[in-house]
Amino acid sequence: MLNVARLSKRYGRNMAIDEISFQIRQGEIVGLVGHNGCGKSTTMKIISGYLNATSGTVQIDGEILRPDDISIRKKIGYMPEVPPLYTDMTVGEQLRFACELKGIRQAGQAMQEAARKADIQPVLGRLIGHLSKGYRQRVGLAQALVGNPPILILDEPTSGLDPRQIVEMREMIQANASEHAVLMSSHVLPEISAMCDRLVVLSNGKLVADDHPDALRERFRKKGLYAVTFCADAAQFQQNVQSTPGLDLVHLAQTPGKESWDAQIHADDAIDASRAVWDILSKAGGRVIRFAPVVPDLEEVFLNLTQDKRYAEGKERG
Amino acid sequence: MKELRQYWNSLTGAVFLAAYALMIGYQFYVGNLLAQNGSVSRLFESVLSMLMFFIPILTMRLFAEEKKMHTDQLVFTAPVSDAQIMAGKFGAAWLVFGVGSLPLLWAVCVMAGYGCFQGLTLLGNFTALCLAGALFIAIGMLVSACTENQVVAAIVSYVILLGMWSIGYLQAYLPQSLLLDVIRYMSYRSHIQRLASGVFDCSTFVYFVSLTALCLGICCEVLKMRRDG
Repeated sequence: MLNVARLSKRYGRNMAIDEISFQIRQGEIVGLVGHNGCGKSTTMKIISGYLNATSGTVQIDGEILRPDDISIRKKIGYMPEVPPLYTDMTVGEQLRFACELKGIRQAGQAMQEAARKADIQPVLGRLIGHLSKGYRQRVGLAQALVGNPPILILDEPTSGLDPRQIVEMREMIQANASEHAVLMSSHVLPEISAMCDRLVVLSNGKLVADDHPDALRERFRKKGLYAVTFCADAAQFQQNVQSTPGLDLVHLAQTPGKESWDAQIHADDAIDASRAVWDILSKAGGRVIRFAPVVPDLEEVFLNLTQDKRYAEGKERG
Repeated sequence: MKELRQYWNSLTGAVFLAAYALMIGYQFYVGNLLAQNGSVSRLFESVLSMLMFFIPILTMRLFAEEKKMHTDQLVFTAPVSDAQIMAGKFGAAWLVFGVGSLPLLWAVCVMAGYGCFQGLTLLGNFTALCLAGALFIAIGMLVSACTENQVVAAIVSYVILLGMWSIGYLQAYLPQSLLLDVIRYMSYRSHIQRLASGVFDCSTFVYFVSLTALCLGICCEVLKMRRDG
C-alpha cells in the first residue's frame, strides 16, 4: 500500500535522510524510531507531501507522490507532532474545514464519523483553545482520519499525554488500524513495540533495521547466554558451574526480597545448557524456578542499532 | 471561507474594519465637510495614502500565523495546490478590504447630494482603490510568507509600501535619466494620481496588475522553496 523507495532529503550540506526504503501493507502498524534529529519527522513530512524529497519515491497504491499531483494527498491522513489546529475554531469547525480541504462532499457525515472514531463527539461545539492537550491530540487524530484515508502518518501521537491518555490514544489507533496502513513514531520504545507490527529504525538519516520487535531482540541476543533463577546453595552452584567444562558463570545475585538466586551463565555451543544446569541443581538438591535465554530489551537493541553508529560516524566526521 | 471566518474569529478583521471606517469618516469630515471641499479625489487620495498603514494589519497573519501555529502542515498536506491556497487568502483579504471601503460609497453619495459628482473621476478613484488594494495585499502576503513573526511581517510590509510611496518624491531632485523614469514608474503614487484624475492609462493597469502578479508569483515560489526545504 505504501512503498518508500530510496528516499533522500538534503538540507544544504546536511543529509537528513539517506536512501531509506520500506513498505507498509494495509492493516499494518509500523513504528518509526530513532534518536532526535535522525530524520523521523522529515521522512513523515515527505510522505505526507509537506516536504519534497531530494531523491527517491513514495508510492501509494502504486501511484507516485509528486509535488504537482495534489489528488494523491487525499489518500494520506497526517497528524504532525504538534496537531495543526486553529485555536479560535470549534472542534466541529476545524473538522469541517479539514473536510473542505479534502474536497469531501458529505462533510457533515465524514466529520461525525471521524469524531466518533476519535471519541470527540461530546466536544464538537467547544473551542479548540479551551481543550486539554489530550483532547487536542484526539482532534488531530480525527482530522487525520477525515475521509478515511488509506495511509495514516502519526508523528509522536502520544507525546505529552498522561499515562491514561496514552492508553486511550493507543487503543484508538489500534482500533482504527485495520482500515489503514499506519506509520507512527514515538520515543517510548515499550509502547511502540506493544503497538507495532514492525519497527523501522533510523540512525543519522539511514535505515539501520526494519523488522518485528521480537526479531530485533532476537538479532541482538547474546548467543549462549542464559538466565537462571534457582533455589539451592549458591556457593555450591557457583563451584559446580565453574567446574563444568564449557559453562561459565557471568552473574550471581540473590533475587531481591526472596530466598532464590538469579544467575547468568554462558554456555559453549557444544553444551546443552538446560540439561547441564538441571544436572548441577539436581546434584545440589536444588530446583530450577526459571531458565531462559537472555534476550535484550528494546532499549538495548535501540542503543546497539543507533549509538555505536552515531559515535563512529561522529569520529569519522571529526 | 475559513480565512473570512478567521478574520472574524481573531478580531483582526473587526479591528481593521473599525479603524479603516474611522479613518474614512475622519478624512471625509475634516477634509470635505469641514473644509467645504467637494473633491472626491481629495478624499480618495487621503484614504489611499493611509492604506499602507492598514493593509499590513490584514496581511500580516496570512502565512506567518499559519507557520507559527504549525497549521500550515494541515493546509500544505491537503489536496489543494499552492496557487489555490494563495487565491483563497488573497481573495479573503481583498474582500475584507472591499467591505471596509464601503463607507466611501456613503461619503460619495453625500457629496453627490451636494451636486459634487463626476462619474469618470469617481470611477477612476474606485479603480485606483481596487488596484492599489490588490497590490498592497499581494506585497503583504509575500512578506508574510517569508516570516513566522506577524509583527515583523506588518513592519516590513509597511516599510516597503512607504518606500514605494515616497520614492516618487525623489523625482524632484533627480536629473532626467533612465533612473528617473524607473523611479517615476515604480512609485504607485503617480499611477494613483493619474487614475484619480480620470485618466485610464494602459501603463497604469499594467503597473498594478503586473506587480500584483509578480508578488503573488514570488509568493508561490517562496512556498515551493519551503517545501524543498
